[in-house]
Amino acid sequence: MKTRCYLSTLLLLSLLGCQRDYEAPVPYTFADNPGAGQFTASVRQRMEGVYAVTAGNSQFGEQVAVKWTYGMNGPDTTHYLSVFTGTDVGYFNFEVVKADTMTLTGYWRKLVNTETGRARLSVKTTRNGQVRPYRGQLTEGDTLVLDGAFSEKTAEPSQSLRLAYRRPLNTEPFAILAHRGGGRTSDLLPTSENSLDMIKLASRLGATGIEIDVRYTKDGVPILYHDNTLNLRLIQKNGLKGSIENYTYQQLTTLVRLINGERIPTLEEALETVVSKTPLSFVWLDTKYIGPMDKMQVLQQKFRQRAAQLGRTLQIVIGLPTQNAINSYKALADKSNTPILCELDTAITRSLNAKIWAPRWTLGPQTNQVLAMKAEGRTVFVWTLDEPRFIDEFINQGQFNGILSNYSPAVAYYHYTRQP
Amino acid sequence: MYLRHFIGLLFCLLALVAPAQRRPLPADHPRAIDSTVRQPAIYFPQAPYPGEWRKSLGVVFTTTPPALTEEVRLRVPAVDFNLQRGLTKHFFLVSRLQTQFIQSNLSLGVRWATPLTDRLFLSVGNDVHGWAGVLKLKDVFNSQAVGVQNVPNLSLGYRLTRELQLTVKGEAITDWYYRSQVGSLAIENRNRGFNGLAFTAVLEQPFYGNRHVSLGLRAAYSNFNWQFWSLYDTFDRNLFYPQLIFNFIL
Amino acid sequence: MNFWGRTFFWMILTLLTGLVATAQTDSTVSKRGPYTLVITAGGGLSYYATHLGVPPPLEQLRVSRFGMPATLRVMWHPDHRLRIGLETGWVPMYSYRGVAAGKSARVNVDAIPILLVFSMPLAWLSGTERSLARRLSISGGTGAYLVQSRLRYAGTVAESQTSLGWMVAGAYTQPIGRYVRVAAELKWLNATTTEDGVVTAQLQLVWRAFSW
Repeated sequence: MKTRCYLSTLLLLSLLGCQRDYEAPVPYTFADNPGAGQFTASVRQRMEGVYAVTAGNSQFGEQVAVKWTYGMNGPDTTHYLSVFTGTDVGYFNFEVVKADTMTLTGYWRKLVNTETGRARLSVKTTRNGQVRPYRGQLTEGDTLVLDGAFSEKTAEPSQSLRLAYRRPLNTEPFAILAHRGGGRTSDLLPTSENSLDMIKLASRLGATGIEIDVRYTKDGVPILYHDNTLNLRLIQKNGLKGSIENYTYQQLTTLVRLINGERIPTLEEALETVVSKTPLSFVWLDTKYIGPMDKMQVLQQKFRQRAAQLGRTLQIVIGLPTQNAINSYKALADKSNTPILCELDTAITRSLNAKIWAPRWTLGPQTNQVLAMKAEGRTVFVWTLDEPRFIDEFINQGQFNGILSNYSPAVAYYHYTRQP
Repeated sequence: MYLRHFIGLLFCLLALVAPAQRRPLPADHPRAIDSTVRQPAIYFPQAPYPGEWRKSLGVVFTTTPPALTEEVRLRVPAVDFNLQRGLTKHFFLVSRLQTQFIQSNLSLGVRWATPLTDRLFLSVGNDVHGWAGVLKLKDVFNSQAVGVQNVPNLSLGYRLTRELQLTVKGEAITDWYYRSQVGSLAIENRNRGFNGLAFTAVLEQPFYGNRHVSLGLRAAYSNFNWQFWSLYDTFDRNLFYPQLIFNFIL
Repeated sequence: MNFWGRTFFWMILTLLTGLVATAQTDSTVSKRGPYTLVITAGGGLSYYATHLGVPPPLEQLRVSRFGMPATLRVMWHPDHRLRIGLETGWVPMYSYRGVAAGKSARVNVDAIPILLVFSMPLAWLSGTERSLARRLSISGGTGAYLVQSRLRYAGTVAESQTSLGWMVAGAYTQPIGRYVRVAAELKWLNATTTEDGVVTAQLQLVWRAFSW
């Protein structure tokens, strides 16, 4: 008997496996070359639209939305093509690698799970079943086609992927706001939430604006960080615990790294990144701390002016999620040029004369209140909506001006493919 | 990964079964166990006498998964009530109510149980779970959801001594129906298919006087957990839901 | 749960099932003992067994995983096998020191467990039988750990965080008197929220304080 007991123990030890760690490493390394090669502004504009997926639809659904975006680095602008699918919050990110071809290379990912892979597309036209390379001009009867291949993980793309142009994107104005700078750390994006790299990624995920979480260090430096405490959800393990507001900026910047290795950014660094490196047009500063609002107001005004000087269309609003935040706003000596967003009820929003009302999505479409607020000239956003089928319902049945989501590719898909 | 844990539990039982493969002890032996005798139990796979009711009342604590609750890590309690009725020598009806007042889960099922040796017992069964939750909080929630799950299950029980009973149970969880409503908008899912697995290990024994208790751990690995419907889990992956079960057998 | 935690858990479970199967005594004894309040106190050596994270910029790094833990446990022993009680104590976890950006840095991490504990002897006590299994017991607990960190770098920050956690232990208890026993305990303490796992070996005094 004892022999069997010991044997069982040995067998158990051999059976012990590691806990499965969910990972979704990006299987493609971006070159981030400046410029767009043969994809001139008119070509890019012509390419944007809703496409039917004629090959690859079992993986990516029946239609997709195709949209160009860009990132800036000093004088250089790099152009990226995003494709938003309606399946599992899937998206593609492509770049122009060879300036003399109409080929794009990149990767795809489904945000609800860890499925990912590489992809490439070439721009062609079809007429009467005949496929030709696209030369920048379309004549009557031509249909624009994005033809290429995709793969799983790091394999060479070999499974057929073909997108056929169907119609233009929905052009109704709508704010696609990305939560926590672009998305959650837990969705296994290549960068951590509330980081500078995430802010630079946001528009490639379909966002037109972002929401970022603002706290203060012990020595009064405004930083981006969502949670109350240093914890293993957000930072690499280093033994440090407790409220982030009890650590100085020097302690945090030297000893703390976000999950993917980044430093915790300051609010100033974040707003500088938005203004000078991205095409984003909206920033929602979520007041996560309890305390004076003066420093946040100074930065808000500084970067609104900076954006204006650069000719950028950029709204920066201070979000008021709690009564404490409202009290801090009311305590400001001069409230001019301090746009705010109120998350509480309509009465409080009106009393503050906030131009933006942002209720929770779990309250439903609240159609009557939303229409009343819009009739008063206010903008209404809803947050934080991730359930894809509800995103579809809120876009098609709701009256909102925008949605804050961790899944901006899904919001982008449902908005751009919407038909009146 | 989940199968490894279940296989591990089975190996533990095998370590017990090995001595049980010897001939049963004579009836007058001090350690002899009469397999027809029933100890107070709820999880142990032995049918109550036909017409007999069995019940237990206690609490189940579920640890919240970090993927859903992020910084907030809690063990969420639910009142746990079990009711069983013997039908025949082998068949019995089972029901279980777990409630946290704003949401509840009621399951009804049937089990077939048989002794394999004087100490080892087996049951197979199928339970249908219906759950519902309503959350109305000013300026925060105007939400509700309902769902139905089907849970076939298999239990192996080992009578360690006359009074100490160990049960290992495996469950397969499938989603039959789900409806979620916020305000006036609703979505529905039918036959979402396989949801996940759960493994439970429970010890049932006397605690003080004649009062018997069930003390156990349940490890569920599932894509969706009814208790967390209001967190709107969008991750298409199995999350780990450990539970501590403590019931007084009434 | 990391590899060592799982290993420890499965070893305890297998030994439990194997040894219980060979138990020499049965629980059905006509004369039951009284209810007893039992207090256990002890200390020993601990080793921090899980991944220890250190800030990347630290140079001249020195790490310590060893410590001297202490346990205080109050258990209710009713008239059957299963016992219930509360455990607390002190669990030193780890410390590290180094230099970053020209300044010295030091971090200490330790925890105070607050656990609800169940324990069972592997065989029922009866008469004067001298079986080894009678003296062995297993315990399992669940609750919280108050995990504390102390940072000395460009200032001092002492902070704490409550982490969910659990514990499994095996102990051998030897009577040395009518009311006093001495125990040797091997224990795994796991703070899940902060991903900390510590193995301890302790010598404990077990005092049967009060019976009714």
